[in-house]
Amino acid sequence: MLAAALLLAAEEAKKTVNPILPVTEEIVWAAASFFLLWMLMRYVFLAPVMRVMDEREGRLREARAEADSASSGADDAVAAYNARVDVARVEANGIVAAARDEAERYRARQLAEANAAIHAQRDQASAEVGAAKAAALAQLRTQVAGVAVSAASRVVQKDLALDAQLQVIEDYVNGSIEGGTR
Amino acid sequence: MIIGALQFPPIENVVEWPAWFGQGQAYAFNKIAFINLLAAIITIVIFAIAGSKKQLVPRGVQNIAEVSVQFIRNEVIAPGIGHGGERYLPMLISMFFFLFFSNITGIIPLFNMPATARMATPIVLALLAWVWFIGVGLKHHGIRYITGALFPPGVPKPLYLLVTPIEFVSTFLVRPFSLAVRLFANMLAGHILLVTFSVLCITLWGFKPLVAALPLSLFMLIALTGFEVLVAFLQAYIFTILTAVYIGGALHPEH
Repeated sequence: MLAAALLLAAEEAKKTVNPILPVTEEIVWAAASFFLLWMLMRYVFLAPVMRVMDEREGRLREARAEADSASSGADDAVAAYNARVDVARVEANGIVAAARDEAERYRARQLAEANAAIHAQRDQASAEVGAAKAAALAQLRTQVAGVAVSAASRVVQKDLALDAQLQVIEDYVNGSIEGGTR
Repeated sequence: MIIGALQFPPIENVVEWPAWFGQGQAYAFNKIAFINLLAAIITIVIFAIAGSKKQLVPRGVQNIAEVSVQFIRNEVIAPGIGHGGERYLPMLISMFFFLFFSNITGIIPLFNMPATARMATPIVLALLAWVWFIGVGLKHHGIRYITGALFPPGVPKPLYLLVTPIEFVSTFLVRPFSLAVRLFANMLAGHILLVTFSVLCITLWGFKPLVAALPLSLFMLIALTGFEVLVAFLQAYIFTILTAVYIGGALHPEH
């Protein structure tokens, strides 16, 4: 009776499948499917995708290198431009300084010429003034001497020779000047 | 199984599927096998199409494939393995896509079953990861990989009595099971939740006194369906990155 019950229980246990335990056919198909996938991916299908990605990576690297190179070239061009600007600035400063010196020299020359002209004009004017003064004095002296001789002729009631009297006056004046200066 | 008025299907009806052919044979082909095969084929088709296009600016399928390659490279291999991890890209990307498509069928109409809610798929991949990381360790460090893992340097010798068994169990025994059980349990739980709310919706629809509760149940079903999309991706990612971490630990045990 007990043996029969145990046998029945064992039969029942055989029929009841544990849902947790793996079954052989599913293991076989899972393993076969995965190994098929793995081998095909490893040797056939993954490589082209990787190749495309590597090529893209290479292109990006090249483009980046070209961009860096272009950027470096632009930097060089900017540096060369700045250098040229510096040279031009130095040249411009030199030209300005030279022009300023030339202008200064020109101004000094013009000033000297103007001063010389002024001096010459002043000397000429002085000479002309001196000549005019001398002429005026001579004329004045002649007129004074004439008046004096005329007056003396009236005083002495006698005609005096004008030229002789003028010579006397002249000598006297000259003698007075010489005596005064002495 | 009848719970009150709710007739919940037996668990074997929820997770077991009859063979389409080869019943009783090791090559018996059922829905789970079909999903596994389909996951492999879809991945292959995606990469075949992507590989045939060489657009400078990728679009569509090419974009999906390239983004996923970048994702596995940057988010799985770089943090998990580091230097020298590029050679494991084919296996890891295959693993990620295979798991993702095996997971996502849980919410696709007519499939309504994640292949990973059966233990076969997780255990196969977990054992592969286990063999792989031990193989990588032995290849690069020889027997010193095993001794280094079992006898970590800097530990006082008497403590090896305690540390070595723990390291042996945690590193060489538990890892494949934790990988497999984590994936399997998460996907099975999600699947059962979806079945539960689906059954609830059907029952409420037919049970007029409680039909007012149907929108709530339907909302939960829709919300959980959305949540399962996230779970499908997350579990595939977790499984893949843990595999990468194990391989990285075997490749660079000093880290």
